[in-house]
Amino acid sequence: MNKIFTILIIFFLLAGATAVGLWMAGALPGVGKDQGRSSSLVVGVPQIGGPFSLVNHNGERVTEADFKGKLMLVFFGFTHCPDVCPTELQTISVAMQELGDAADQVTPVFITVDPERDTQELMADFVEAFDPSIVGLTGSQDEIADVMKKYRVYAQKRDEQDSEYYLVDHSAYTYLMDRDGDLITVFSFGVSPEEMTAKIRENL
Amino acid sequence: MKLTKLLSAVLMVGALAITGMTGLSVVHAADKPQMMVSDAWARERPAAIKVGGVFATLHNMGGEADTLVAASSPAAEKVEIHNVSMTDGVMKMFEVEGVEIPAGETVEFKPGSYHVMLMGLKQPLAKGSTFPLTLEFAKAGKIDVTVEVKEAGAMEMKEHKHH
Repeated sequence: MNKIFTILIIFFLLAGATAVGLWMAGALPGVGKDQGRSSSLVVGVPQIGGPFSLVNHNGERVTEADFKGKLMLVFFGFTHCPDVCPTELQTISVAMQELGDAADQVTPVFITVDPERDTQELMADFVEAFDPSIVGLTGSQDEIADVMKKYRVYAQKRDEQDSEYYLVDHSAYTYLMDRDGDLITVFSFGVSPEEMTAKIRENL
Repeated sequence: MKLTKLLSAVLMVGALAITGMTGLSVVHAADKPQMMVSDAWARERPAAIKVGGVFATLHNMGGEADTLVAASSPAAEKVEIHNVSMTDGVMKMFEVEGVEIPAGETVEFKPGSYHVMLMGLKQPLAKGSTFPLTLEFAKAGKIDVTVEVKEAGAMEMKEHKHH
C-alpha cells in the first residue's frame, strides 16, 4: 500500500516537472523577437505561420491563401548570403526533384529577411538558379517584419560590415506547413534532402 | 675509347638529373613548406549580387602547422576569410583572423563552414568561368590558385550526384 502511494507521488512529481518544462519551452519563444530555440519550436502546439501579404519574384502580390491546398516549405534568408542560403535552397531543390510526381503537391517558398536589398528582380535572379518550383517572396520592411514575427524568425543586420555588403544573421530553419498553412514540422539547417523528402511523403 | 666517352656522357647526364631533382625538392622544402591548395570553386551568383564565396581544400603536407592569414583576388574589391556559426538555429557569418592548418592535416573550406568571402565583385561569377585567387599563409607565403565557378547550388567541386 505504502509502495503504491510512493509510486503515485513520484509519478505526479514527474508529470508536474514535465508540464513545467513544456510550459517553459513553449513560453520562451513567445517572448517576442527573441531567438527561436530548436527544441521549443518542434515541441508543443505550434503558433507558427499565419496570414501574410507579400510580392512574389514575378511581381505579383500574394497572400497565404494563394498557397493553400498544397504543402509549403518555408525558408527565410537573403540573396547576398554566399553560404547557408544557397545550401538550403539546394537541399530543397534536391528534395523537390526526389519527390518526383508528388512535387506538385508542395510549394517551396523563400522569404527574404533583407527587403532593403532584395528587390523582386533580385529575388527572381536568385531563385531561378534553383528548382523552378521555388517562389521568392519580398515586401516592404513592415510586411517582412510581420511575416518574420509570425514564423518567429530572428534576423539582425550586421552593422560592422561594409555598408553595401552587410551580412544578416538569421534563423535558418525550414518550416513544413500543411495544406491549411499550419505547421507540421521544422527542419534545422543541415537536414538532408532525403529526410526532408521522407517527412513530406508522410504528410501528402 | 668511344665506350669510355659514351659512359662518361651517360654518367654526366645522370648526375645532372639527380642534382636537378635534389635541387628542386630542396627549393620546395625551403620556400614552400608543402602547403597545397586544391579544388578551389565558387558558386554562380546573379550578376546584380556583388558578393560571393570561395571554397577550397587546404592540405598541409609539411611537418609544422601553418595559418591562412589573408586572401586577395583581382576579381573583388575586398576579400575576407569567413566562417559560419549556428547557435540556437541562428546562422551567423563572420570574419576570422586566420585559419590554422595543423601539420599533416587537411582543412576543407565548404558550405556551412569556412569560405573566402568576395565583396565588390568586379565581374559576375558566371558558371564555367574562372578567376585567380591568392591565399597567403604565415609560413608557406602566397599561393595562387584558379577558382572554378560551379552552379548556384553546388555543394562541392565535383558534380553533385543528384544532377
